[in-house]
Amino acid sequence: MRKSVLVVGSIAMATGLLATACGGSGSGPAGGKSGGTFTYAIGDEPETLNPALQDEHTDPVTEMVFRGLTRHDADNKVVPGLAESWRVAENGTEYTFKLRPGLTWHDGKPLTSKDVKFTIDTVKAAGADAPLSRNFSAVRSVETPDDTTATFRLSRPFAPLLDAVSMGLLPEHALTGKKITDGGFGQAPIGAGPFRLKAFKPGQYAELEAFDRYYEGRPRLPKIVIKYVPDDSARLIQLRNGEVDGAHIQPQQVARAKSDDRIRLETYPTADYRALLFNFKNPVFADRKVRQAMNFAVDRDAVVRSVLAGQGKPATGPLDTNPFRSEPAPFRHDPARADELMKGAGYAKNAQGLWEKDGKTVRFELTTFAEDSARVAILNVAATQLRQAGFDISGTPKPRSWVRDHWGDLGAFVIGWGTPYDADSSVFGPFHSSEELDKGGSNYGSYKNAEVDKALERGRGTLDEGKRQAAYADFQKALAEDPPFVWIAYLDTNNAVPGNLTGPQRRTLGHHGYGFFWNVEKWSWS
Amino acid sequence: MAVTDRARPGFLAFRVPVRRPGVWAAGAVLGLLALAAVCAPLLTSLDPIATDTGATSLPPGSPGHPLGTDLLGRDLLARLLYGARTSLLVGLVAAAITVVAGVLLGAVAAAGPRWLDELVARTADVLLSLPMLIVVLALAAVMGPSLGTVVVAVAVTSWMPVALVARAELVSQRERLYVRAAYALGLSRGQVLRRHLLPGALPPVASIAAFEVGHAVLTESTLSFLGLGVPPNRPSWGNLLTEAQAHLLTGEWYTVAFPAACVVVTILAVNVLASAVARGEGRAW
Amino acid sequence: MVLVLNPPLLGFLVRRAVTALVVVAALSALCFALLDLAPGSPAESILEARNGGRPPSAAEVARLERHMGLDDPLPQRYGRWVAGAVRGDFGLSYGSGRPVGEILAETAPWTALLTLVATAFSVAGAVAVGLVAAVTRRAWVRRGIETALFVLGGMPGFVTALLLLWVFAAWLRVLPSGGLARPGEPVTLGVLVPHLVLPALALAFGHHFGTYARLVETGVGRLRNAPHVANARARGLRGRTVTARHLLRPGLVPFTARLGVGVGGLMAGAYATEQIFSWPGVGRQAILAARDQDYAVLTAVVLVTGVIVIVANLLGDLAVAWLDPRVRLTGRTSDGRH
Repeated sequence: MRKSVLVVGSIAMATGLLATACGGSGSGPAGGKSGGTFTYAIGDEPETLNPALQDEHTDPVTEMVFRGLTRHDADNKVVPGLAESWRVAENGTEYTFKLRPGLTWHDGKPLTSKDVKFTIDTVKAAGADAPLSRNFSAVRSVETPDDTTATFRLSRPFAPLLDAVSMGLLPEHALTGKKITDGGFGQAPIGAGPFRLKAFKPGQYAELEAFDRYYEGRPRLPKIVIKYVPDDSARLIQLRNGEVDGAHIQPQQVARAKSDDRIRLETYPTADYRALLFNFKNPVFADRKVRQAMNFAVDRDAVVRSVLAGQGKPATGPLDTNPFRSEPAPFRHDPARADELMKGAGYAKNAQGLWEKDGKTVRFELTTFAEDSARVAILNVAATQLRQAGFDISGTPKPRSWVRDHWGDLGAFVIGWGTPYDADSSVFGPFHSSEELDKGGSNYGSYKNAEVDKALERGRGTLDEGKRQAAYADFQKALAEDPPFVWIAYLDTNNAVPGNLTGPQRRTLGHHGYGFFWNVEKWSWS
Repeated sequence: MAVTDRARPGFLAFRVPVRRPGVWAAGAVLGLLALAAVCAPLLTSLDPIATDTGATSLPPGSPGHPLGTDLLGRDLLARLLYGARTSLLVGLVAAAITVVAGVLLGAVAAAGPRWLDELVARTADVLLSLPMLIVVLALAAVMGPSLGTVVVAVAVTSWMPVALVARAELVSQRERLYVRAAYALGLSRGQVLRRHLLPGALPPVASIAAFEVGHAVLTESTLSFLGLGVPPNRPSWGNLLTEAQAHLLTGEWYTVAFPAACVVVTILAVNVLASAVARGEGRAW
Repeated sequence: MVLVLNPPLLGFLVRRAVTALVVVAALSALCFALLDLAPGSPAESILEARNGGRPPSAAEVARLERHMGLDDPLPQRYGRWVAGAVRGDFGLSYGSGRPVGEILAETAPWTALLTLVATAFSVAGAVAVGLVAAVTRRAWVRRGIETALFVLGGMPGFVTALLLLWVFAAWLRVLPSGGLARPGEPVTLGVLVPHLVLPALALAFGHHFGTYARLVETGVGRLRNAPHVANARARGLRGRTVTARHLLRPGLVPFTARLGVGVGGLMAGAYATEQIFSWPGVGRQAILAARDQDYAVLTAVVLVTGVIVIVANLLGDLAVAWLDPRVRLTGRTSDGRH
């Protein structure tokens, strides 16, 4: 009897051994680079590689495959892309773009002004499907007098237009007769960017090759592989054992990655901030002194130190890292100032040490998306700090889908906004009173301030750089006086690359801290 | 053999072998854990939710924090103690409901009319095919996120294996001689089920019951992580584990080890008790 | 041994095929109803993805819902879906715009392979370990195995997976940490096998291994001193024959009954495992679909899971009948008393 047990047991073991043996001989971990390929691991995988169905240039593959009429430089200023130059009419309603000569798509077809017209017309027509169509609502028509000239006629001046046309151009010949959401194009796109998509395996990787006829010349890295590794720990392991050359890593992993001397860490600031949004339907937030006091009561450095493992910066407003930043708001950790403001608002500490006025404490619930662990951590620390400072706050994360149905019922919410590009796109929606939640906009807290409204309208309606700077400076000043949020922190983003990769250049990145590949055509092995 | 002349105890007349030290130890462990959960405020003065950014990531043995602190400076001991409330409650209650419901449905399927058997088996097929998440999202939409929802969700999504094991066991038992003899003696279906079939089916059910406790504890954490159970910032063993997941490889091993140890110890204790109950029934053939 | 298609078996299979259709229909209806109950709107998720992760405005959401027909009443949407599904058209993924059928054809085989190998691992391991524990006369061996099983069973799947990853991929560096192959490398058997080992082990040991081994142990253990076994020994049958015919076969009944159901659980376990090991299967697809509320994909994934569960249960029932000839297959169950 014992013998038969042994037989079964050894079969099971043999199966295991066989599997392990094959593993040993089949493939060791990939060591270093083969043929100059740069392999990079990232967690998030795009559903589509169509640039018109993304925003803020977040997906690296889409960014490498496509190029727009304009693009951004290291300071996030608009510079020529596929257009070599442009002219803007005095009244701001006519833009004439001159394309570079001899542009071609990845499939060898010539890129002409017809494609420019096609792109704008398609995105405008896609309305409901493509949120980016809002960027072109002011464009009445696009005319193409010749193959390299495209003239945009606008119904009204729209300052962010040059920023908006940094969206990748779509090839007319590949998309005619198809919907913008076409799955085929989204998986096997044809662009005019520095890298050509050779293979896209959803759930696995995207393989890119340098494009010989890229307008700035063939990129120096011959091949790039973007590997989708959703698990953070698995990504770190792949980086450390050489299965990938580079990776997007989490703040808590920075110390670990630094200990490996083959790896260089590229830490870039982002325009992605976290803040506590007040819902102004709750009367407890009516007094701006209370909101100012909370902005002095939170210890932002402590949040950055603990939640972000030091990978971030204290935030004082929505444009701290934007080209339109002005004098920062005075918010810092200053308990005495917070107390002074609360007393000034008529509050006094009660027996539990909570601020109270007319028998009412500053009572509200702070919530956020339960699935987002970084926001939950910010919620925990901020709630603790504010409670210790005398605000009657409770923190309860809720499921994302629940929050989406209950924006109007929230007390306060850990929100994230911010853009490194034209300020308009990320401040008009959240702060202009015409965008209030009940009017179908994205001003979820129903914030309303006449000065803010005026400044935002001025910033959007003029093309004069100086006037726009002044408008957004006024906007930031008005926000500091009457804060809609408790600003917490800007997140830094960390990318690990091999020590011998040269070229990555520091720039303030956008949402999720993606956009690391913005100047990839200049990267090379040293 | 001796069995033939030994009276078969009824389903509810368990004979727990009280003299075995293992059983006492297991009972004591569960009792102590429950006591610690109830008396959590007496055992620690620290708030399990409040963060302390001045004392983050302290290793075990730090002054004031015997088990250390997590990345936000929350005391691990306090979180384990308060977490025991949620985890033991959900783990034991949900597992008990799961096992009882599973055995009952399995019994109904095995002893009842054929259409009932079909109904139970096909319902199980449907539920096994639906991702738990979908079921729970809908449940939470109807009942609202709470511990009750978690318990119901665990029971609704995990009674199937128990029922199918119980049913297979009962069907197999039903053909055996002593059962046929019982029918021949004129016992009713219900009597046979209660006195012969169920006790005979208990050992395999008991052997998976303990795993159901662990399953319930871990399911609770998944649901809480998604905000569907207790809020994800309230401690539970499962929550602690899920939160610590990212730090398993970055040096803070204890944030994973302590809650995992609590879960394993609970499962071991429940198992010892469950097997004792099953063994008390003697051998069934 | 071999199942011959005799008339009762044939009748049984026909009946099961019919009920399978009913189950699939019920499953799809229930899935639609439950997703309808779930809060939030798919349009909101789609727009958030296309908005660079920012919440869209209510007006944009309403516009897209109208555009996609998501604001139609439930029966109308379900009717549309059924009309397509019977023709094999499961619609387009909300997010990627690709045909759902195409996505499933791409991902389902990898999940099937992973689940199959994981099941093989856990069956082989569980039978071996369970038998040792059941027949050993040394109490400490049995206790040791039991304790080890419970420690394993108490460990969350992701901890098991990460530990395996850490030991074999990061520390010993003998196995790759994820995916099917290195990017660009053709997926041949020699490449696939090493990539399969860790996720299959994680899936097997992280989920049902402990339960399975315990079921084998109790199933066989309580038969060890049964009269028919003693009788067989007294008749002078060899130890191996006794184990195989009188202990193993009937002793595996509870385990086998659980195995069919276990496949359903294994599919659920595959979600997390596929995520950690970047395995491009339906599980990962389901996680993404649930996060993005891509109900077109999610419903199809549920149906595929349903079919796999039904087939696994059917095989489980056949296996139980084979192991225990007293169980008859006429209809779903034998009635036993006649």
